[in-house]
Amino acid sequence: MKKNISINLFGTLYNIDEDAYNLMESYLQSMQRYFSRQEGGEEVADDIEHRVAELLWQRREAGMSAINIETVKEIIDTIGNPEQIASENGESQGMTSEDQNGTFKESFSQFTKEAERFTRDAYDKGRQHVNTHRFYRRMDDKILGGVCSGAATYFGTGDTLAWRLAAVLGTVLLSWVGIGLLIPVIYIVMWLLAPVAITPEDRLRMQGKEITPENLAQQVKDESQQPIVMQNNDGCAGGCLKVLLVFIGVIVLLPFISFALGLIVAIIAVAGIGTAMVGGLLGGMQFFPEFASFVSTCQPMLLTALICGLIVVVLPIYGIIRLLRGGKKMRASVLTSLIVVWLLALGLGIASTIATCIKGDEWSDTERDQREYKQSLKELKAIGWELKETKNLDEDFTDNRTGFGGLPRYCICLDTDKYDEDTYTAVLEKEVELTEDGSYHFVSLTEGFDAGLTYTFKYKDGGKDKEAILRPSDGGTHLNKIDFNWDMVSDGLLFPNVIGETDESWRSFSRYGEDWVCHWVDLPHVDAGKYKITIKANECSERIKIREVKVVKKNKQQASPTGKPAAAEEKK
Amino acid sequence: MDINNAKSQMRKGMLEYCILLLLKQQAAYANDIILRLRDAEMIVMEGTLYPLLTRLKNDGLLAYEWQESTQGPPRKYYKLTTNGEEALTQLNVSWEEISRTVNFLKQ
Repeated sequence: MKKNISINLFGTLYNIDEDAYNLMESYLQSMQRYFSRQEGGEEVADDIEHRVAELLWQRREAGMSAINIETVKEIIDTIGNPEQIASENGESQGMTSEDQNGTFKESFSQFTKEAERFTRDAYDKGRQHVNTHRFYRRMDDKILGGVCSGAATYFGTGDTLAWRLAAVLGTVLLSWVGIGLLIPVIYIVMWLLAPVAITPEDRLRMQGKEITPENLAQQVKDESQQPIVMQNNDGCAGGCLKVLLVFIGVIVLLPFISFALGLIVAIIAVAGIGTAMVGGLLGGMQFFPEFASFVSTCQPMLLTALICGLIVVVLPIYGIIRLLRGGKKMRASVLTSLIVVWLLALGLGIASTIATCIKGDEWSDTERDQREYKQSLKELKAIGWELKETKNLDEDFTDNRTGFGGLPRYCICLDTDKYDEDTYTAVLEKEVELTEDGSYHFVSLTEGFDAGLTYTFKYKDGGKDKEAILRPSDGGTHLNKIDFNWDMVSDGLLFPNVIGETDESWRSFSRYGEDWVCHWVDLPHVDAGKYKITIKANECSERIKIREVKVVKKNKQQASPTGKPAAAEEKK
Repeated sequence: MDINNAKSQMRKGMLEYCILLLLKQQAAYANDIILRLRDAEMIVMEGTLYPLLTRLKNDGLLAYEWQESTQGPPRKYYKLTTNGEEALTQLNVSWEEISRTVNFLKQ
């Protein structure tokens, strides 16, 4: 079913289909435009219109009630389109000038000589005027001036959106190298210079199609099926205002767009690099066991990050390729879900990357701890201590960080933070050899409150097995003002000013803000021989560093109230 | 040499002469001219005719008058002017020459 309209041609009414009417009108218009360039052209156009009317009349007389597009095409074929007439008329123009100063004979022979050249020239000229591939702005698909849509149609590549995106992104990217105004300037120049595509002919020329009756009819047909809705062609004032707004917008927004784009590019790049690193990582695992350990520690998150990274990179690339190829438009639902997937991947990717980083950091901590643990065990061994037994205790339990005052580094750290619920045990053992009988001190020095530790010294007294146990509880006495000599500690760990002053079996003291706790027990008599000192850590409540546990010969002289350490004196 | 092009050029060169010949017999409007020319296989594209008629009119060889028609739109009846008849005489002479030349060469 077609819409039918009636037209009045020289006083006669005709019924004509809408598409046929459009074709006919555009035909007559193009004729007018073409002949208006020539002298007496209006008359010719008028003659042609009369001829059209006559042909229509004839067809109506023949019983055609309504004129359809086929009829109009027939008529156009009969009369010819501007291009054909232009080529047919080439010679006549050449002849006109000859008429005035020569005879027809001359002009005729002149013509036969040069007709070909004239014809070709006129034809080319006609072609140029009538049938050129031209750049038009599109008013039916525009945001600013319809330049981008015009370009998309003119070049016949890509869809308008791609051109627009390219313009915006190009502006931003070029602004990074300092020529950000290039594209806006080109745009504005095109805006000012390029004409608007108004007629179906214009739209044919815009696409670079020849203006033949068939193409024109097809174009008009297409347009009648999918009407072209012209948007307002901004007047000069409106246009200028828009240009101004765009300029301001570009200047104000450029840094932001630039930043956002930079961020996206950076994210995509990072994700891409991350993806590329997988191979290296997997390869590296074979050669560096630490990598394997890292990967196995962070595996789930690393994997998530990489997959998300892939999605984040691949989806936009796919989208851009699709846009550039100008394939079928994606269904809105598909597009939406793809965008959602991309955003999810972006979020998840960022989150899992951060998580991987944190985990990786932890991993490196663990790695360091392990190294230090091994080192620590070595050092412990070097001074005679051996780790006998562990239970629920990870490698974290040793710590060889050097304390202040140049203390030996073989302290033991029992990091109890992680063992709130589990009970744990660590047993350290050391062999000591006492070369002579006598009275001794069994002493321990720890950093921090050492509740939960038990120090045991098994020895013989007159052949009998005895056991000295230091089991610190919170019943210790703090002795603050003790002259504590660090040399002495490293030498032999003697506390003369305390020992001998009191019968208390153990004491503790504090110094320099650190809780250095010293416990000792008097051993009135110990047989010479080889013995073992055992440290048992059991459910310690906090981090403890054991500096030293020793059996020291009791020296009455050292026990002077002045606290002058014997060892130091001996050195001197 | 493009034979089709040469043929069409010959025809075009003859077109004005033919129109003058045609209008000498009786005044005619576009449709008559077209029909006659078509019978004579002289015309391919109708549209070509109109610029030609207008130019001949502007050169003073033709004149026209409008006539109302019961069979469609008003018609423009063309006829030869005195100048036109003169030109036709010249063209007749010219044609004789050409035709003689061609016939001579053909033998």
